Amino acid sequence: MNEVSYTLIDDEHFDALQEVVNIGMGQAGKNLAKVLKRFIHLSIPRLHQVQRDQLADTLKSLNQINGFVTATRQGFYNHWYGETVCVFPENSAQTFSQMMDYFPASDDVDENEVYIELANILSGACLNGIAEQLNAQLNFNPPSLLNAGVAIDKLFDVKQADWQQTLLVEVNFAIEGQDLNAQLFIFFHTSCLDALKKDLDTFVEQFG
Amino acid sequence: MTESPSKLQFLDIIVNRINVGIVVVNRQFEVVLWNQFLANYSHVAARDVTGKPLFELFDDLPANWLRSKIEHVFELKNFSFSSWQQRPYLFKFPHNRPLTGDVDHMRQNCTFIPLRNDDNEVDHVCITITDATDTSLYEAMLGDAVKQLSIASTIDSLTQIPNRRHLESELQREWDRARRYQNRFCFLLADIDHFKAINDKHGHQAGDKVLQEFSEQLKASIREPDRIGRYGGEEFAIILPQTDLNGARMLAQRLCDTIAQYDFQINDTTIKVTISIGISEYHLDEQDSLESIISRADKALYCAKSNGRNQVSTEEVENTAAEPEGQLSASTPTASEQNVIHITIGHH
Repeated sequence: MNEVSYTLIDDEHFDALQEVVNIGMGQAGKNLAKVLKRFIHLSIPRLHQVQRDQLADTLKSLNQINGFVTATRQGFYNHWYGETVCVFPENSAQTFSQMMDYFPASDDVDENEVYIELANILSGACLNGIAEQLNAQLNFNPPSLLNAGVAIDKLFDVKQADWQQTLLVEVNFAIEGQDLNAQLFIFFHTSCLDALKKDLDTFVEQFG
Repeated sequence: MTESPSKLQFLDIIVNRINVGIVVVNRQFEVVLWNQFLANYSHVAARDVTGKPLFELFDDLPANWLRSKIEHVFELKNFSFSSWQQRPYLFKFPHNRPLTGDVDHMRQNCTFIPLRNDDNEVDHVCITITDATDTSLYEAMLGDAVKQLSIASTIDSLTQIPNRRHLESELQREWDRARRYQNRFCFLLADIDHFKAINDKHGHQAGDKVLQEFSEQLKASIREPDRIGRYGGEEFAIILPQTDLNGARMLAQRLCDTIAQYDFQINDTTIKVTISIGISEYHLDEQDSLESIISRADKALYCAKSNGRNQVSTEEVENTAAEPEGQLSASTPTASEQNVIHITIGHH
């Protein structure tokens, strides 16, 4: 049986998207530094076309966090459609909360609130950074906890999922002055890829 | 761009009839829009809040947190959220279940929406407040149900002591601990003598009562770290951590004596009951297996039964015919013994 693997997005669009994402993430980093009052070093974003049965392996290979992780997820819709997964080292809530001045400096901090708040900030900044380049507008659903204290490849079970492939954008956040990082995975649902490609066409036309 | 009058009228009606709180603030945190939902629950009309600073109007708002949250929306130009699970409410409102709900204030989910002006700057933030009280109550009920279920699945319902499954997991845990820390422990199997006869003579309800009362006695006879459980119909298991065979034998004998002397009151009848106990000990140097430990206790129990019942037998004891004491008639130490009813219920 001849398996035809087709790419979700051709090389030209892929390159354009890489450029858009680079610019967008750069902008996001600047915004984040203002809010978190620390320099956030963003890695160069990586793009992947992922088959569903390779998801766990892909996450593992892209993983930048040592040990077990705690992760949140958040849906976005409107111009594009998908979900972000934000991954933190487990038990890092206390350290992160000290960076965000509206959490009380005490032990009463609700750990989940810290992860969720930070995930919202990171996801929003990055996706809006990308959306701004392409004149797109996004709406967000509230983030929620996905899993806590597990290995990265056990984060979510896709046995019941109805998607076969996804376009993944990954970026790592290193906090300056701390041995601490967080990682963002943006999953685009295939249903919005046509819209995304049109947006990229417009972008390329404008900027050559 | 002008909207047709009817559409604007619709929007106004919708904003004020919708079952969601809507408040819009400007960069000075002054209220610019306050919908009917909020007016109803706060008892403060829109005309009394418009143009005034939000934090001055409601001094029990979590001001620091809320101010930061709104400012982040201005700075990051991005949605923000607050879930009742992390923060039960923003505004202290009564909820929609004043009689049937078991919670003090409305639980709220909030969304913070950046509103852009014509220059694409975010100059207002819209906060929506959704009543999540029902969800919170359902989740609390679910939590209770799960807790009850997990208790139910580890406790034997008749005797209210741990069931076999739970005891076996405790045994596994004790065995792991013993191997790791080179500790001793003993495993006991206690069986009510001639239980079938009790059921036959006094009825099953009486038999149940005996099991319940025995379980009470068993609970009272052990120490804090010890574990008990109902192992079978009339069979009970005991785990004695940090105990050697001698210590276990002493505890077992005490239990045997207590039960033998105890008056089991079943309705108007006094029933006398005896038990047989088999004991095994975890052998430190042989990397003793759980199967072997259980099997040796079982064999010892069999010995106790064969030797006349109402006694304790340890794994090291040879199969000697000891003279049994007790109110039950002596029985011959043969394998078929267990099926023969030789019972005299004494009246003492």
